[in-house]
Amino acid sequence: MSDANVPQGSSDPAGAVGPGESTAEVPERDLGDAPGGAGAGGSRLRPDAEVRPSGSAERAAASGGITDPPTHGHAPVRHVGAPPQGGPAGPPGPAVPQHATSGNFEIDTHQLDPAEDRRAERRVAITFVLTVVATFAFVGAYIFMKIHNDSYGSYQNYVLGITLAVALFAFGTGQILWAKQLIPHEYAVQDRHDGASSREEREALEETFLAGADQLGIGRRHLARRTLLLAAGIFPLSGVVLLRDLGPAPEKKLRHTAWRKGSYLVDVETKQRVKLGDLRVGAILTVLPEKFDELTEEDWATSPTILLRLRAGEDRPLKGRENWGVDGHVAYSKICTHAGCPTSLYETQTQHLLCPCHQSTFKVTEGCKVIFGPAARALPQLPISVDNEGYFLAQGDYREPVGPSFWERG
Amino acid sequence: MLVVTLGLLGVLYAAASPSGQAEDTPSNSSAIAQGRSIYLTSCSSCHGLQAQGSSVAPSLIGVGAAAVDFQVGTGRMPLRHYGPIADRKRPKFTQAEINALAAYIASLAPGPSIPSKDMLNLSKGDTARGGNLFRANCAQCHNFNGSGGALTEGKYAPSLYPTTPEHIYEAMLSGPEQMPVFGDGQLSPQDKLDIIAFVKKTQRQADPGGFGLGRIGPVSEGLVAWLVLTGALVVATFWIGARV
Repeated sequence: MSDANVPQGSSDPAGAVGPGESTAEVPERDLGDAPGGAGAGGSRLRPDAEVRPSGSAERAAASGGITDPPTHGHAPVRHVGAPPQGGPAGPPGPAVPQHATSGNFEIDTHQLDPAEDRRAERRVAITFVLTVVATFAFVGAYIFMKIHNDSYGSYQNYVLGITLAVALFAFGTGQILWAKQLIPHEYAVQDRHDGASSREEREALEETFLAGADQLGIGRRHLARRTLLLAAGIFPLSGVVLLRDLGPAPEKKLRHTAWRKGSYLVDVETKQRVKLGDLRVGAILTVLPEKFDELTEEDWATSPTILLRLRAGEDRPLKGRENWGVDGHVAYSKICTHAGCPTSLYETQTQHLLCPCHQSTFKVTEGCKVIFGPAARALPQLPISVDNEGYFLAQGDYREPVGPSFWERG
Repeated sequence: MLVVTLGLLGVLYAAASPSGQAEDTPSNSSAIAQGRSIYLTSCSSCHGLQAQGSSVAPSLIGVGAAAVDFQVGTGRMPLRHYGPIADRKRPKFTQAEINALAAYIASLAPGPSIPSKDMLNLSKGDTARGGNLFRANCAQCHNFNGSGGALTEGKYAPSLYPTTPEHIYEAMLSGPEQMPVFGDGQLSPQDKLDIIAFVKKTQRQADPGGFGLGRIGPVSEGLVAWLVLTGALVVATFWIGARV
């Protein structure tokens, strides 16, 4: 937050480092001139302290990690890239456990055991060799494996994919292993700042705000204030008016389907009229009005209907709908009243119609009333009859809007 | 113990039941007689001595040979236990015994018969047309490639992959359990053949990715991508970022 707090790092309330010796909160900052702190925050320029690279994470954990109290007196500073003390850069020297801190910037300096170091390096090397092997396997599979056209390249595809994946994965793993096991680890602790601004700053802000309000005169200038409120209230009207351009109003389209008095029911697949006897008991058929190829998009969306044949006497028609079916045949809208999905998972023994989208379930023999799920209304029923030759036709349109509820439905 | 005993009894019965007689294609009346004896011992306790049905089982008068061949041939009948739906399992009877049973049931009243080999000649099926018919009539429950799906209250539409063409044909004719009936007036024999040809063709298709993931489409693929692969990515990220 505020940089002003940084030099007073000792005010940190919950740091891992005791209040006495903490001096720095930002490791990257040059802390040479940071005040006090029991000598822990030594000069960054002090040349006499080096930190050896370390590699073993287990050792870091065992040595106490970041919660260890810092060592007082010596304040080694790490010089990035500098060779370990007393030797040229290269493989680490003998294991010399060290522990160093710089302010609350704590560095684990445990030396990797040479044998362990060699093992770690070997692990890294193995992953890279694996990359090479898998790459050769990929190239070999590409050149030598046969492609079978009848099954999408058959096994070659799998081998190519697997070898490529192994090569890439091993390559990345090797790099991560290198970073985790060979590169020295260092742990830095940075304490949080306090959340709130200082009291002075808060007071200054409050003053500025009140002075501004006073100069604005919002309490005094009645005319300006009232017209401001008026303008703020009226201006959004332009946006409201533009909502009209979202599209033509649906008008009556939602209330009517393509079914008319005398529309023949035709099979949606064969486009043939359906007649008595075509369906056996327990059958379901999706039907549309005849010549449905010429329907508008809206009618396509609203007109699909299912024709079901129930066992004689099984249907319990609602009051006033006693003549809407013919000889056990009933027709209902296929469009779910919840979200408009096609509702045609028909269970003939339980007489359930299930919508696959949200599991709304309708009881066919009771006017397709909702018995489960989010649908709010029964499926609308299409009144049907038969002509002299036994072909099914509609007595008229649906008596209520089909499909999901809408605002003006009433 | 009871279960084991009953199971043993069942095995003994199956071994002792008159399968030997069924080997030599019996004449119709002797098949009916044999079917009746199988019926009385294995079916009548639920469906009634006259196949008239009971409070726990439907009447079998008029269901035809097709229904018997499907129900017994797919192992659904005899029922193992009451539940939302009868599961497919190993058939209890040999095909000869099933044929005899079917002949007996068919002799009670006319009903759909077992399709002939000629009606199941899949090379005469139009798979493209069958696909259209399948999507219009079957896909809502059996999924667009026939791998099945859930229905209400624990019931489900089974996968069609293990089902033989003959049994699919019979299922359409007889409407087993919750399935609607697709009589010849609604789906002609050629329509049915096209549908079966489509189902069996889809079943044979290779899965280009190596795994079909149940072939239920983008749902399973999305699930794998999100749960498995994203989970693996998160784990890898944690490993990279871990202190150790």
